[in-house]
Amino acid sequence: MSDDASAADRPGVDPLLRVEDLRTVFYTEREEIHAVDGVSFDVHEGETVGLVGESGSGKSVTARSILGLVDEPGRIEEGAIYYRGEDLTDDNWDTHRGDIAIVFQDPGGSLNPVYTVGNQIREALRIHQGLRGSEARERAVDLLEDVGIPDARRRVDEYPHQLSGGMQQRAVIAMALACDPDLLVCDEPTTALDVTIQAQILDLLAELQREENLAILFITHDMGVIEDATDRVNVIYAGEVVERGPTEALFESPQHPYTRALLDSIPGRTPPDEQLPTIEGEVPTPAGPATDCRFAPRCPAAVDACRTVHPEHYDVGEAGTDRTAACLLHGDAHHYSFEEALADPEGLGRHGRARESRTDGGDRS
Amino acid sequence: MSDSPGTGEYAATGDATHRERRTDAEPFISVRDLRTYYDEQTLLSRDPPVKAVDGVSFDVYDGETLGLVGESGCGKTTLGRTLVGLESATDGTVEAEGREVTDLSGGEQREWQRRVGMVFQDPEESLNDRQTVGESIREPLDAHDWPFLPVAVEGVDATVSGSTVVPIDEAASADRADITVRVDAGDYEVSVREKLPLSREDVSVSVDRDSATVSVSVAKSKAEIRRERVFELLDRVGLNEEHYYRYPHQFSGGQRQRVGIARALALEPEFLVLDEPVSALDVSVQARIINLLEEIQDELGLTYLFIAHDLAVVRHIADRVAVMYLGNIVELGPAESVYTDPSHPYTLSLLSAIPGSGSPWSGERVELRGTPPSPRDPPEGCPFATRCPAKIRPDDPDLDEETWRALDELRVVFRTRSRAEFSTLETLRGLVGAEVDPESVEEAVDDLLGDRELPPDARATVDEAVDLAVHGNDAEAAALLRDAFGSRCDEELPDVYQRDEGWKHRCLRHESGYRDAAETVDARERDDGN
Repeated sequence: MSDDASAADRPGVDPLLRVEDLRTVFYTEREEIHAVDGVSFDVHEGETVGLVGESGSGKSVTARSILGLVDEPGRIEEGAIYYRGEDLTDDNWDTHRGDIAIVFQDPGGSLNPVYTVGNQIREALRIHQGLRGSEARERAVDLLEDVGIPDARRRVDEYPHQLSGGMQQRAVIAMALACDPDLLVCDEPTTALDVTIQAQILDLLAELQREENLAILFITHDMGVIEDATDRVNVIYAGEVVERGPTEALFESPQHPYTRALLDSIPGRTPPDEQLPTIEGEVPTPAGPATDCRFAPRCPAAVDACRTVHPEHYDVGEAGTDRTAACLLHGDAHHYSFEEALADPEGLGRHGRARESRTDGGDRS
Repeated sequence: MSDSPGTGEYAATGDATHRERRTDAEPFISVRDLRTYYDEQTLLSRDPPVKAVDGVSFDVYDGETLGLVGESGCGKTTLGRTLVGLESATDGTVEAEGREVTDLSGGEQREWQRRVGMVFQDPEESLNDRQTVGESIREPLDAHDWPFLPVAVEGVDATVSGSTVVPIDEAASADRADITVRVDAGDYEVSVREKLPLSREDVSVSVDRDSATVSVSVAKSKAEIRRERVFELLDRVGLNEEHYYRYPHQFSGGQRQRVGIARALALEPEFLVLDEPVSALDVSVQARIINLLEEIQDELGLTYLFIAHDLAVVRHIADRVAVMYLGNIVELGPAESVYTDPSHPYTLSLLSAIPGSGSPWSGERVELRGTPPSPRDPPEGCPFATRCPAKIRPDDPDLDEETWRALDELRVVFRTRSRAEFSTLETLRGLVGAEVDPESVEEAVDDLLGDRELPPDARATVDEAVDLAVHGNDAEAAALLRDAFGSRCDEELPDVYQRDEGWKHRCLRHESGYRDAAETVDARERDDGN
């Protein structure tokens, strides 16, 4: 991971990847789902950018959109995805096929069970680097060694089922590296793994980044992993980025009520003898364009305006740090702190906002 | 861990800084040297059994939450399933109130199944998609013909009659009765157990003093009582009556888990095994389910065994924690003590691997090499020896730290090779006596030892091992290296050491003369050897 967290601040440097107002919509018989609804972020060379959110937030669809892997009934409707300044959505994916690689959550799904690990890596080497024969074989062994698989020369001839989950994920990363990518998109790469194995994979990714100056887009629901693995982070909720910033600053003082609530509900951050703070309700499915704040129905600090105004991003950090939050609390009209909003909701001009109380206390269907 | 009576009473003396303790706690369940093996011997395979649980001993106290942590494949789920009778124990005992419960039959087994419940990680496992949620929760009630409606008669010696009710055994205490009839000189009084969805008005009683009979009839059918019980349960877990008629696929993950909990509570159990109940849930939903489980425990006085791989969750919910590795409990103690000052190197490694600032571990992350060995073939000595970052090194003045570690790792490579499942082709090659690709052996050795200077003795041993490995004798190669460079940890299964009241672990470093695990790991990080 790069040390300068404010990579976004490099003047005159085009980002490696720039996602601009991306909108990916799925059309089903009953409704259209705006799974990704105006997402923008940058990834610079050699840095790790996180995309964190709960299930249904649209983070994986964002990843698939970047790779050009959105299938029917989904479509990228608006926005641009610039790779080194070139818009991929102009059907440029094939030109950059090897430049961006992806690692999925389930390594078993990325490996073909009937071919040896070595076969699959050699295939990638043949397609992307034109290597064949013993040259490809040597390179495959090297790659397996690079990703920390012991006894690589033996392992290269094994089938995926002969490897443990952690070793399979290493093999998948080796396959991704076989394309010699500049950007690695990791979609929940450690979620299926045990915590000690997760630690190994995170260390491996950090090491590969140092050695290859690899940029990583790291997608996960796990705030702890985001905190350890990324330089900058985007918090995504119901298809929209609601807060972004340098990881350390964002964790230290979250500025969007959703980020705050998400961090609070992690068990390690609350003393064991206290009840965990919770967020009532569920992530909504964005069925149309946003006309309000999508978090408002669950937000403890929401005001009337939150239901009628779609909040834009406001700067909430030091100048030039690309630290923003999409919350009216930070708008010109209010500019209250979260604490103030909670303590004195009337002061925000709210008139008896009907707080939704759930008699069932459960997660609503 | 061997837990002689009287040594494990942490709950009676525990530090008051954590959560309030139930001060009069007795063991609800006592597990001694429990083993659960899976033996799949067929005509074609002669594999040794999978030793999923390999000799564990512990108590779970009345009203406490014992957390059980460990990585996948460590045997924690099998252990939980064995306690509630879903797997049969291979050896050892599980006692509840002095009675052995692993080997019950018939009525006694059903009685035990009523007293214990299980909540699964994936609620779908226990929910049938073609049954409504209400039917799913009702199923155990139907299966056990709940309620049993035992009637106790106080004051006179009388026989009980009635079509749905059963007389209660006199020896059994009246507090197990659902309906109590108190008869005195001229009158009688009827009471109904509070927790039952049945009111006094639903019960009609007539007392015939001449023939000394009490006949009891209940206006509600059992089916009605069950239905109302299900409504109560739905309410208890934060759902409502209308959910009775819905199907599981109409529910979110959090709601399905609530249904799983309601179902586990149906028969009024005293002890719940919670197997990764929140692992599949988003963090905000997870928090709500954890709070619900804590509320239910307080309200119903339940005892929990909470199984999870997420250490932060366990820290939040558990009073005590047991750490499991490869079928063994390697450390057990009060949760806060174990989390802040772990004794066993595995506990330490697990804690250090928790990502983010929520981690209780402030030091450097300890990276474990490799993966756990197969439970078919656990190591001979300490189960953790093949990966331990604090392994005791042998007294060999000729080997420096780095070299010893490389040799140790080489042995693990040979060991892994000897245990690998071979592809058919490789097996055939072995049968016809074809040699292993010598290049792969040499590269592995080269990788680890490089051009390191070895003392002549050591070099000779390594050459001999390589020769064995090239001829396919990986096991012998590993054994040779073990004899030459192995440490105590490779030979001895550590005893159970008592670190403090109710805090035990199994690591040889507890013996005097050794640095403890944390210091050792720290020193090795700084590379000044041992």
